[in-house]
Amino acid sequence: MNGTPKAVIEIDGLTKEFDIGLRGVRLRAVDHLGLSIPRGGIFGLLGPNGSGKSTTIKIILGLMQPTSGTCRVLGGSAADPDVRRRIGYLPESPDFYRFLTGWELVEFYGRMSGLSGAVLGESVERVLDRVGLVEASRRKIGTYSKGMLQRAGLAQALVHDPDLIILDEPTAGVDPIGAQMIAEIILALKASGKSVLLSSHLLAQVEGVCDRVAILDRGKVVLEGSVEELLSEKNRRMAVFEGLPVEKESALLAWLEANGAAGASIDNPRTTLDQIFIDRVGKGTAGESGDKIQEVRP
Amino acid sequence: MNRRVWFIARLTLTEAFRQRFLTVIVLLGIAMIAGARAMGTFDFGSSELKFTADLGFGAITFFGTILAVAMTAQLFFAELESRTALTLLARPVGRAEFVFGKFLGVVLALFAFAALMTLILVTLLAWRGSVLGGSGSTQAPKFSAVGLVGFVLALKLALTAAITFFFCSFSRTQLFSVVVAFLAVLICHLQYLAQDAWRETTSWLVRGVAWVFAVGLPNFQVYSLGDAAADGQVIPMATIGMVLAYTAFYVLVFQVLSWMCFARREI
Repeated sequence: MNGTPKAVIEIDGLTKEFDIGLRGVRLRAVDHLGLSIPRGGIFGLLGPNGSGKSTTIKIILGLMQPTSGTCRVLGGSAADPDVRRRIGYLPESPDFYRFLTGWELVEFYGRMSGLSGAVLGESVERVLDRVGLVEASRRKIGTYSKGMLQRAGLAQALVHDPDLIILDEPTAGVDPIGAQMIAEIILALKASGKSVLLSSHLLAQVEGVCDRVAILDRGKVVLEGSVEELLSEKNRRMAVFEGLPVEKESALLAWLEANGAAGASIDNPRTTLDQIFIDRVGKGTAGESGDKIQEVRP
Repeated sequence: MNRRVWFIARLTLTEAFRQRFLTVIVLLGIAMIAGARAMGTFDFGSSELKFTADLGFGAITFFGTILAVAMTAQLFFAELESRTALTLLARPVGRAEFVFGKFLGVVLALFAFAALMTLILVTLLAWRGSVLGGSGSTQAPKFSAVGLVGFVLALKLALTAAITFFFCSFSRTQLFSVVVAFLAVLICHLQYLAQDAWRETTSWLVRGVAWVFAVGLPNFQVYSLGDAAADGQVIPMATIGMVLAYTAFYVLVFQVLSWMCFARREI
């Protein structure tokens, strides 16, 4: 990795203002933003709607020009087509060409990235397999469920084997099973050494995926750090066990308090509704219900 | 040609062919040409074949203009609203490639429309010509001339699409683009008034405004070869060549302007 910058994206003092039509009134969507997104791993750009996530991503991709500040991507500028060739991008809620099949869609984007011939065919097949859309690849995009559409979007973002993948709200509007599948694909990308920038306002969904996050509010970073750092309560400890008789619990609590543990309590661990949904609804299915056409006879 | 431009054009063409709007316009155009015989009572004394040819060229111009404006705006804004433009421009696809690719796709669809309409018109003229025999056919339109006028009208539609594309490249709404483009097409048809004003007025202000319209916008009277063809005259190839060059010049101007506006546009 000699000569390769450690950060895939370096943002310094980035500000973006929009003219909102009234005389002299401007809306500041991104406000002196500074970020360094490390190579490898998954970085989450989190925040509520309107916090400047999508605007930041568009500036990173060169689709918008900043009012001030700098943004370097993969050591260069997104204005350079060679830099963009190494980026995969999935926008928020895309409505892809509904008249194309999944295969044709991914093939089209592969061609747009300069792939051709046997390499293109192999890439399309590999990436459709990776997102679990091989079976549905000959169906029109218009027949896809929301989750399948997002996975098709992931496939188009990955077809040219980019180094940096930018995903804007990849699980928005997707049910928990679809979101789980997308999360698994993103984790697999990380395992294969790719850098992923992920934007979302669905914090619980990205919690288990991101290595580091930055939380944006009104265009500013209000919190940044590793997920582990941010979520762990350093002064508190938790023990999980099975088989202890209920009548012995008070003895255990008394022992903990006698040894200096303040505020000790015993309770049942809780799961999440998402997990129950995935366990019950998704169990035994290869993918979402929309993946396979269910034949209906009158 | 740049491969990416061609792939975008091909996709745009496929999208255009799948639009119900195109189907409706084509059916209306066919109905109008095919209904020429039924409208024979309104022929104002001209021969049936001349009337049919006039009506056919009118149908191509009228429905083709609606198609050139509305379809261009629809296909352009659909890319922005569906965010597919983002996925394309985030790749090594230049803004110029996007603009030229979309435009080429629309132009191919318009040429297909004009070709189909012209083919139907020629078929109808051939049928009625054979039925009527020699009677009243001394000034029957020549098929080659009808074909050439069909080609010239396709060029006019391509230029209309280029003008529409220019307005789309900077405007925020589809409606604005469509309205302004129709207005521009109207001005292009009445451009001789601007040229007269430019030549004859002494007021510098009027002269300046007239100059902008007279030189900045193309003169659509250049494409009025339908009357000659309907009268059975031969269309000289030199005229076709001049119209082609005229169209190519203005299309290039409007495409470059579209690219310059779209390159600055934040999407």
